[in-house]
Amino acid sequence: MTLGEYVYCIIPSKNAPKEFPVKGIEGNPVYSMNYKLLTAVASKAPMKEYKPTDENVEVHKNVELEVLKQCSILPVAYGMVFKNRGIVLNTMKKVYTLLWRSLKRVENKVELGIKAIIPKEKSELEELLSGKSTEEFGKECRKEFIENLSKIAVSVKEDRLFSEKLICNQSFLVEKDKVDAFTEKVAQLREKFKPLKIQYTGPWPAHNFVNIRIMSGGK
Amino acid sequence: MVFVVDDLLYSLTVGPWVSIMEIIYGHSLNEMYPLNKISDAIKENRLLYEFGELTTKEYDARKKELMEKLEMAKKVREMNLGARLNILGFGG
Repeated sequence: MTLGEYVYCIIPSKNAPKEFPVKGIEGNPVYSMNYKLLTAVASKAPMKEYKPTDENVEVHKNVELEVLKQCSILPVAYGMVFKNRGIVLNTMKKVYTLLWRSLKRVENKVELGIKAIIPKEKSELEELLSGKSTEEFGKECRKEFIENLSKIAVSVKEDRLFSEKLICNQSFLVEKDKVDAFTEKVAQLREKFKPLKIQYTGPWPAHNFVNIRIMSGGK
Repeated sequence: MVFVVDDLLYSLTVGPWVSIMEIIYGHSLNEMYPLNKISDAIKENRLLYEFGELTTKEYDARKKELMEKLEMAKKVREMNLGARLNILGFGG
């Protein structure tokens, strides 16, 4: 099968290493492709549709996280593979300004996520619910999280509740030097809503705050 | 609903009738193979596993089932891509 260029993210060219100490799709080396002040982080990969299997998504995520350790990144959607280097660079050229602006927007910031579910065993929740329906309680919970955490975050996004069991799904864009303060606040909220199952994740690349389809069909 | 569909079918000529059949077919396709619902179920399965509400065995079994459903839904859509129903033997 023909090999193309699988792109993981875009980073500033300044101080970008030529290679990264992480394996890409199918174990291939991950390297840089520069265009002016921007660099695409890519690896060789077969030209095919990439199914969102746990294994593939894990590889994509690991590369992003490795690069994120070194600099700010503009994440590229999972599964974007280009025919060759020329097409990647040409696409970057076409949307250069947009990419640069988006990168500036997420510079020195990371995404942190909060999800909460009602546990299987509801009995412990009775006191916290105090007669309210799950919907009402969920609404209050989301409001309280937003009120407390948006004071520290730069931006907040209420994500879709894709499951009936999910009562809170929020993403926060936070400056790197405020992550500790944010984490402390989350710990306080976790204590307050104790029987609720709360998942606090990150730091992630700002997938939920870069609202453009980067390099999709060259647009 | 039955009244509306009957009413429309009796009042229209063959061309639009075929289009209505296509719309109904499209709706039933979405109901039988709902891509969005399957995607949400895949996400929910992962979420519940991460929260420790499902065992690895339960998670793997559900994941397998859902991935098969997703594949099937995609295949059904690919098979019908751009195809028209030609149940009356003309038109289209």
